[in-house]
Amino acid sequence: MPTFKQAIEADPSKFGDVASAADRAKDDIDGFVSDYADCMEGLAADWEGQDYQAATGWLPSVKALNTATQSCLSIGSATIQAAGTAMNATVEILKQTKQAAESAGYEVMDMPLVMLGQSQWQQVSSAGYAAPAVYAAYQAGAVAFNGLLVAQLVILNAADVAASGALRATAGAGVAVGTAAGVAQPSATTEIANWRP
Amino acid sequence: MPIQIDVEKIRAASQRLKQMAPSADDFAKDIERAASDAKSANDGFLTADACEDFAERTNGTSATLGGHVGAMADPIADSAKAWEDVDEENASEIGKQSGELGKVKG
Repeated sequence: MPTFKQAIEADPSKFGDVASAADRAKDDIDGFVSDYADCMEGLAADWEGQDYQAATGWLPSVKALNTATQSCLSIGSATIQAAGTAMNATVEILKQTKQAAESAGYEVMDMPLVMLGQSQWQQVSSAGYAAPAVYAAYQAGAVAFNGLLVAQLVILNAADVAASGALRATAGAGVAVGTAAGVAQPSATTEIANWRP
Repeated sequence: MPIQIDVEKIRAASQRLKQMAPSADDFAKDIERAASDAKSANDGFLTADACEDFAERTNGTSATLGGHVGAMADPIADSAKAWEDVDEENASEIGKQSGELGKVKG
């Protein structure tokens, strides 16, 4: 969960690159498994017996791992893409709100805390008998900017928590799949005929 | 049912698996790099950490697949060798027989 300062300095558009990399990994893995299946299934006419049965017996579990990985990467990519876009928009609003406050003469602290800036204090102090009214007006503006910034930061943090939770749930599915595939890991020293898928 | 074996094709398949297996090492490279970039650009974001985990899982799955395919290569080549040996043994038996038959004929 980013602080206000971290949020202002963040670039959530970078999450989009993670999403497209996930899409590429998804295609690479699918192509790999499909090549492997072609290679094994292509031997059907030239290789028979217990060894062939045992070797191709692994295919269903490898294909199942691929199917699970494909959906895991699809969902993960979509989650990252959507969260990245939404958080980027919120960060942009935060930056613009901060700039608006600053161009109105306010000073935005890292909390976020909007307080009167130097020029505003100068106006307050030179306002003479009207000073309390000038101060109150500026202070009302500070409170309004503060409210906007805090609200956006809350939205950003809610999006961050939701996205990371969803992504971890997806990665969790990947762990289960990885473990299942670990069982399907043949040992190079084992006779193929002794393997059972 | 007669069993037909093409030892050369089995060997070729074993070779192909051996060659393709290492390519799985690269499948997660992009996502790992992108996740690491996203993390340095987004300090404090839980999503950035989750992306790194996600990339790591992708790498784990790729390694599992690459490891499986690579581990299949040698036993498949061994099976081809076993079939070839059986074929040679049978051939030498028949060769002996035809030697005997030749004697009979002579």
